[in-house]
Amino acid sequence: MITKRMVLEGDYVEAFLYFDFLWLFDNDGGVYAFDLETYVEKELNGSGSAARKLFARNDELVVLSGKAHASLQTPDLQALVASEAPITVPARDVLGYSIHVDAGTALKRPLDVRMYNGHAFVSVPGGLALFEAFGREDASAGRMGSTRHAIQTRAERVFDLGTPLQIQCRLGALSIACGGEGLHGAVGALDQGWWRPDLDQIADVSFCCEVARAGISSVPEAVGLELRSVVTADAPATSRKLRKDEGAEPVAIMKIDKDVDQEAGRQFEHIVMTASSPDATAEQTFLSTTSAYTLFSDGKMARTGLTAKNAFGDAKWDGIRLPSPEGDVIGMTTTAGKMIAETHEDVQLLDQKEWVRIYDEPVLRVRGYPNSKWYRHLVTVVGKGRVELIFLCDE
Amino acid sequence: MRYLRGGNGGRFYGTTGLGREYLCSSRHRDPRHPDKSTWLQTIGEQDESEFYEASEDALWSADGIHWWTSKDSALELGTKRQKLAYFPKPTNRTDPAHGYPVTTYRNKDYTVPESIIQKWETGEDPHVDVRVAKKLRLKQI
Repeated sequence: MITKRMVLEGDYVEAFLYFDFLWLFDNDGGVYAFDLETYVEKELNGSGSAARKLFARNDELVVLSGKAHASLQTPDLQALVASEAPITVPARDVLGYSIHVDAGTALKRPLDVRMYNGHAFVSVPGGLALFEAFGREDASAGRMGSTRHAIQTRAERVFDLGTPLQIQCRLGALSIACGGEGLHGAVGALDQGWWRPDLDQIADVSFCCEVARAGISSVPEAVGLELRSVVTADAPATSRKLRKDEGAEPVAIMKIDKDVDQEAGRQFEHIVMTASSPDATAEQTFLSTTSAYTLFSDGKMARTGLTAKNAFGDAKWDGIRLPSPEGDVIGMTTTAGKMIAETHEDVQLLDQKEWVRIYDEPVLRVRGYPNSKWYRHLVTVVGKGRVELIFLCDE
Repeated sequence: MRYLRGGNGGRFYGTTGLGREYLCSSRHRDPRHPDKSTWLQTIGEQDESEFYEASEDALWSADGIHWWTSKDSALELGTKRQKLAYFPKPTNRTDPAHGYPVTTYRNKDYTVPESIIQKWETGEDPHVDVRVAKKLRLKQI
C-alpha cells in the first residue's frame, strides 16, 4: 500500500471533498471551500500536474481492473508518491486559497457533514441544517481568501427532532440516524435543483445507516441489522447535469418502506451465530452500502453481503473471518476498495488482511469517498490542528 | 466524602454541600453480576462518592440527573470501558444519591444532555476539548 499525504494546517472539525473543493468546517460555524486544484497548480512547482491527479482528480489516474497501481502511473506521479514527505499547506494558504462561506451561526458545532447533489447537509446539536453548495463556476476567483467577500449562504434548519449521528445521501434519498430519536428519511433530492427535505420517521432507533439501491439498512443496537426496502424509478434526466464528481445514478428512490424485513433480520442473526467462534460474542455491527461487518470479542470480524441484483437478497457470509482492528472501534468507512476503521486512538486501514495504522492520534473525523469519481482514492482525516488528505493506492 | 455507615444496599458517604448522602451501591461493585454496570476495582468507593460531589458542586446536572467525567474523558471508570458516571435523580428529596458508570455509545438509554456538554467545553480551562465534546454529542463515548 502506498500513501501520499497533503497536510492542511488549521483547527477544523469536519472536512468533505465535493465538487471542486475541500470543504472545511470550524467549530464556530465557519465554512471554507479550499480550492485544491488551483492550489496544487499554482504552488507546487513541477509536481502540480501529478498532485492534481492525486488530490483533486482521481478520475485521471490510470486504472487497471479497477485498481490504480502506482506502477501504472506517469513518471512524475510515480516520483511524487515515492517521496514519503507530506505536502504541507500552511494555515495562511488554506485560508488564502479558500472561498469563505458566511452561513451565520446555524452551523455552529458541526457533527457530521454530507454533500450531495448541490446540497450540504450538516448535523448540529439537536438538528440538521442545510445550505446550497457551489462549484468553482459559481464563485468568482476574486472572492478567494477574503473574509470581507465571503459568499453569503442562508443555512436553513430543516430538522429539529434529534441530533443526527450519521447522515447518508444516495439515489435521491436522505437518511439520518439519530440514535434513540430514530431513523428519518426523505426522498426526492433529484427532482429539482434545490430541495428542502420532508423528513419522515422510519424507525425508532438507529445508530448508523446506509442508503443503497436495494433499500435502507440501519443498526438499531450494538449488534443488529434492520433492512427496509425501497421503490425506485428512473432518475430524472435533468438531475444528471448537476453531478460532476458524483457517480451517475440511473435510478432514484421514490419511497421507503417503513416495515422492517423480518426474514432478512433473522438471516443476519443466524449468520452472526455461524460466523462466531464458540467462545466469542458479537460486539458491534457496522455498515457499508452492500455489506454489514460484525466485530467479535475474539478479535475477528465477519463480512455479510446484503444485496444481490439491487435487491435485499439472501444475506450471505463469505466464510472469511478477518482480523478486527485493534482498540475500541467507533466508526468504519471505505475508500479505494479498502476498509478504514476509526478507534479512540488512531485510524487503521485493512490491507491484505492486516490492519495498518495510517494516522496515530485520536481524530475528529475520518471519511472515505467510495462513490466519488474525483476522490475515490482519498481519505480525509480531521485531526487536532490539521486536516490530512491521504491518497491510497496499491504498489 | 467521609464514610458514614454501612447498610443493606451498600455503604453511605456524606454529606455533600447540599446536605445529601451518597450510597456506594454494592450492586454496581459485584463482579458476579457482569450484566450490571460495574465500577472498575481501581475506582474506589471514596472516588465514586467524590465524583458525585464534584458533579453536584459544578452543577453538572439536568432534570435532577447528575453526570461526571474526567478531564477529556480520559479515565475509564467501568469494567466495560465506560468513561461517564451517571447519577439518577433520587426518588424522594431525602433519598441518598447513587450512581454507576455508563457509555452512551450505541445506547439509547443514556445521552449526555447538551446543556452539560456546553458546561464541560466552555470556560477558560474547558473540562473537555473540542474533539471530546464532539464525540460526546455523537454518542461515541
